[in-house]
Amino acid sequence: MAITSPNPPLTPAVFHILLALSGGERHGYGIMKQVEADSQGKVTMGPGTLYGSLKRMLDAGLVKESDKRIDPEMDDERRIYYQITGVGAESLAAELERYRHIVSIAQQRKLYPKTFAYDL
Amino acid sequence: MIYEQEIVQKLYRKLLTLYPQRFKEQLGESMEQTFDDLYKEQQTKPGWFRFILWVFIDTAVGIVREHVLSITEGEAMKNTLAYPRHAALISAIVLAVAFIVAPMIYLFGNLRDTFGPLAYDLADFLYGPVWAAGLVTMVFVLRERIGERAPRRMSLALLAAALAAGAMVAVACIRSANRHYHLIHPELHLEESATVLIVWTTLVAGVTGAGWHFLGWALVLIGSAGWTSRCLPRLLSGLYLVAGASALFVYRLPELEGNVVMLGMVISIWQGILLWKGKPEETQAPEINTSQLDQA
Repeated sequence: MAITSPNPPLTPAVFHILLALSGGERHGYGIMKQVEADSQGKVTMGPGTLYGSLKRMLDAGLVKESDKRIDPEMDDERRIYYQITGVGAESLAAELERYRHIVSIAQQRKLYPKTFAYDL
Repeated sequence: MIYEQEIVQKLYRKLLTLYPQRFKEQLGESMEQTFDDLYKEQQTKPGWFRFILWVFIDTAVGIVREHVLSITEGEAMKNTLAYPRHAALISAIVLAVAFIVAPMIYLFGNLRDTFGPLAYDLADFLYGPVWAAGLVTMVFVLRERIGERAPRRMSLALLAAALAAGAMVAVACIRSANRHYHLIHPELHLEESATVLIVWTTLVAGVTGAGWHFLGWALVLIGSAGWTSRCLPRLLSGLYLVAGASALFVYRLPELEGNVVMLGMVISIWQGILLWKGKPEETQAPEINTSQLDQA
C-alpha cells in the first residue's frame, strides 16, 4: 500500500515558485524575476514551465490567484497576481526542513562546506 | 520594431490557443501578459532571436506536457478543438460517406466502369485516410463531451479508434501500392501468380480484420460509456453495442461487415446530429455520482 506524506517533496520549479511568493504576491513576470534573483541567475524559468507548475499548484491549493492590478514599478497594465496559501507555506516549510536535515547530515559527515573526500 | 513586436505577440497568442481549453481559460491571459513583459525586457538586451526561440520552445513543450497530463489524468478533454460541434458534424458526415461509398465502389462495378482505376483510388482514399480522420475526430469529440463521466472507457475508446484508423490506413496503402505495382509492371502478370494473390489477399484481409476488431472495441466502449452515464440515448448506445459486437468478429465472420457498415453509417449520422445540437449530457437524465463510475 502506498503511503502518502502530508507534505511530499516538491519539484525544483514548485519549490522556487513558492520561495518567490513567500516574500509577497507577484505576477508571472515578477515570479520569474524573483526566481532568477533567488537562485543568483542559476534557475531561469520559461513561461511554459512556470505556468505548468502554477496550474498544478493552483489545483493543489498551494497558491491562489489574487486580484488584478497595476504594478507600480512597471507600466500601467493590470496584471494577475498570485499569492501563497497556508498549505503552500506549510509545504515550503516542510521542504526547507528537509533541506536543513540533509545539510546537517552532510555536516556530520564532513561533506559540507567541502564536497567530497577526493577534493580535500 | 513595433511591427516585429506585433507579429511575435500575435504568433505567441496563436501558440497559446493550442493549450487545453481549461488551462487556457485559467492561465492564458496571465501567460500573454508575462510574455509581453518578457518581450519588453528583452528589447533592451542582445540575443533577441535566442530569447524568442527559448520562449516558444519552452511553451511548446508545456503545451505537449499539458495535453499528455490531461489524457493520463483522465480529465475530460476540453481542449484544442475550438469548435467541437463543427468538428463533430464534419467528421460525422465524412464518416457516414466513407462508410457507405467506399464499399459500394468495391462491391459494384458501375462506378468502376465509369472512372476506371480512379474509382479504386477514391475508395482507398475514403476507406483509408478519410475514414480514419473521421473516426478519430468523432471519438475525440465524443470523449470531450461525455468523457467526464466515463474517462477510462472513453480514453480506451479513443485508443482503440486510433488503432482501427491506423489499420485501415495501412490497408488502403497496401491496396494502393499493390494496384500501382500491377499497373507499372504488366509484363510480370502478377494477377496470375497464385502466391502473390494468396499473400496479398491474406495480408489485406488480416489487416482489415484487425481494423474492424479495434473499431469494435471502440464502439463497444462508447456504447457502454453512453449507456451507464446516460449521456447518449439508450437506443443509440444499444446500436453502438450491437455494431461494436459485430465489428469485433468481422475477422472471423466477414459477412458481418455489411451490418457493421450500415450500422456505422446510421450511428455516424445520429451521433453527428446529437453533437451538433450539442450538450448531450444536459438533455439526459439525472445527476450521477461520478465517483461510482470509471473513477472507482
